[in-house]
Amino acid sequence: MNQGRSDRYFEMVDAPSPDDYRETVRFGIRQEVILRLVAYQRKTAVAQFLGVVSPGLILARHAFRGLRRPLYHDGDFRADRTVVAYTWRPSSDFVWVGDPHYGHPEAKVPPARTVFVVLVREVADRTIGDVRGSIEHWNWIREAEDLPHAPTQWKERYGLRLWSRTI
Amino acid sequence: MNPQSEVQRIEAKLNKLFAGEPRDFRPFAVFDESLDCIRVVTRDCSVTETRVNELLTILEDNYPDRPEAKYVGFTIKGARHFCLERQLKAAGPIRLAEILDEILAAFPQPFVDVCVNAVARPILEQNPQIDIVELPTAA
Repeated sequence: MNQGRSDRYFEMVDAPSPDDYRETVRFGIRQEVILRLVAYQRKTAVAQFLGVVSPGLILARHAFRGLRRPLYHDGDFRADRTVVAYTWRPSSDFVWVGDPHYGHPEAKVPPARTVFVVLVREVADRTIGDVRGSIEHWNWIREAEDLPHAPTQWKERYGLRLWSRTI
Repeated sequence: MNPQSEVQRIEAKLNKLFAGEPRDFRPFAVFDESLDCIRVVTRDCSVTETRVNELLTILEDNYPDRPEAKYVGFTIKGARHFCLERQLKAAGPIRLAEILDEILAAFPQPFVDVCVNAVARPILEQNPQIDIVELPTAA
């Protein structure tokens, strides 16, 4: 499966490289992911992508590789190893408020003591389309007490802490 | 970009994306093949994910109208991996209640029991139309 083709993506997002936060790489959000959110009428999730993920991923404070949970994908029983988690504490959340048809997005103060987590899957072939991987999921998680800007239980959640930084 | 113009930018993109989809949100259960998980979502809202264990996560509304209405879904992580490992049906229509039974059998711990029986099962009981999820044939 060629996940590196740039025409598969709805939008590209800059991010610090998993290898070195001083370098910038690009991740794409697959058309399929956006279309699924649209099909299920998840306006808040799309608003969060547009308002939190897209402008904010470049400001991530931590990166972790691997999910400490079962993940079968594309014939691989250890597909968790291809996932990178970026985490930080954004200044805003975005939600859809009001009627589903005539409502509107609204910026909100994020819930207290939470961080935002974005999961990306690195693609195997990085020579195509300048895309390092695909953005797969995002959400809020309670913040760790021992590591600011990281989710609680980060040692249980993720395999390897790639880097951390202050901005 | 100031906050107001940022909201306007997002609103314009949302209106364009959802223009052809004039439907209300409905609770759903869907298999996310890329992350091998089943997502059960009953409200379009901002959520905080609470990890129960490596297989189960509970979703809580970040800004609920009523505190008792904060649970809005759950995620069964590694769903296909779990089904294959335990020699359960791993393709076609799958009953979520049966997977929850298997999770309880695999993790007979009080906290897991509470999360399954006090959060996940009531969500399915209130939304019986989403008790079955379709797992595509594995690649």
